[in-house]
Amino acid sequence: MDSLFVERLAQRDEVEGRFCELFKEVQIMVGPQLEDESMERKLIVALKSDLVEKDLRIGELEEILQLRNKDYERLNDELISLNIENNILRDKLQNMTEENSKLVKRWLNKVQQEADAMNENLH
Amino acid sequence: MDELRKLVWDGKINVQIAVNPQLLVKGINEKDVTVNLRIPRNAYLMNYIDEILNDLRKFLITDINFEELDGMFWFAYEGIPLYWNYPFGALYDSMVGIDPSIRYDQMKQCNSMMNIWKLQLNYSKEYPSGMIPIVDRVNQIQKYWMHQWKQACFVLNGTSKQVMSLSLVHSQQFWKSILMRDYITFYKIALKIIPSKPRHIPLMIHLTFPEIQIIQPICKFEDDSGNPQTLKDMLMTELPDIFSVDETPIAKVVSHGIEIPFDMPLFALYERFLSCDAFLHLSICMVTDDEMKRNKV
Repeated sequence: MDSLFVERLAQRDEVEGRFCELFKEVQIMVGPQLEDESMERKLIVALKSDLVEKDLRIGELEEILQLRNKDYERLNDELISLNIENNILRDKLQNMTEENSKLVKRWLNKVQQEADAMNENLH
Repeated sequence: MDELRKLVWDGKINVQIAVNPQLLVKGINEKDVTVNLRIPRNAYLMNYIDEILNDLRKFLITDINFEELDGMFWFAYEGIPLYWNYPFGALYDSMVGIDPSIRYDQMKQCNSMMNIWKLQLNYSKEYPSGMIPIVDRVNQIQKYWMHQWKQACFVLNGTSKQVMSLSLVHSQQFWKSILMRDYITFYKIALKIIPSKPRHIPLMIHLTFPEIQIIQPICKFEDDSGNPQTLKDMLMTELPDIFSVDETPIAKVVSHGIEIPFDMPLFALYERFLSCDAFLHLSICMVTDDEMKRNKV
């Protein structure tokens, strides 16, 4: 029976060992492991914390940008409403000016007529 | 038997580990980040987590500091979490559901075919259901493994004395033999614990159909008439729906990647195929329809 098992296990290893050179054999380190203090490792740790900070900063700036955009929209709305008010007032002013000049003209005509009547009486 | 045990001990599987894209730094393509390893069948996958993470460290979104982690890493196969507390080979045989003879025939026909198990590394704060949380890394695996040996020793001898009385040096050597893949030391200590005539046999049956299930049956060394209990006797008692006397079996029994004949005495099987955790792991793999028809003919 053992020879059958040995044969089957050899077949298993033939199947499972195919292209095994593409796969890394791992040796587990036994005992207290030394911390890997290589420059590359330190650099990666520093860059990762930098990345986390930058991600946070991006988030903050995006929030500020959103707030500014809202302010800008509000300001724009205010500007438009003031412009409309300005236009209305301008129209009103023009109407008043026209009415004023009409009234002055009428008054001058009236005064002229009175002056003419007084002159006629004198003669 | 030594040659056989050595072959069982030396079995290894080609594994490709990919990373859940959510764990990767933005802009890194998940397909570019994989680790290819050869993991021993007779070992725990979690023992290799440090080596795997060392290779992946620079691609992961956060720096890995185990003391500060508030979740755990775990592996999944096709989205199903792998329980770390079973030997890797037993997980492979049952989860993939291999049929050794068909696999060998297919490989013989195609020279470029590769046997590879693709797993995914995950990280979450909440553990997947049914998985034992790992809080103390390798130390916890060692404690769990020692507990398994005590349990198996009790099943074999009716007492855990043989394991409990191991000296500290010997129990450390025993554990290191698994980490360092030292076959001679492992069997030297294991054979001190395993008796020549046990009371019961420590056994785990891995079923994936109809659901993932692990059965730990109570198996006597001999049946009532004094004959050694065979694999067939045990299967017909424990899994009568799959293995019955009259019908052709619809499943195969696989251990360490090979098919086991049904007439094999259980203890002889145990002595040859015991795993690193002192249990005999048997995976039940369903037979394909084609093979069923061939067997009937």
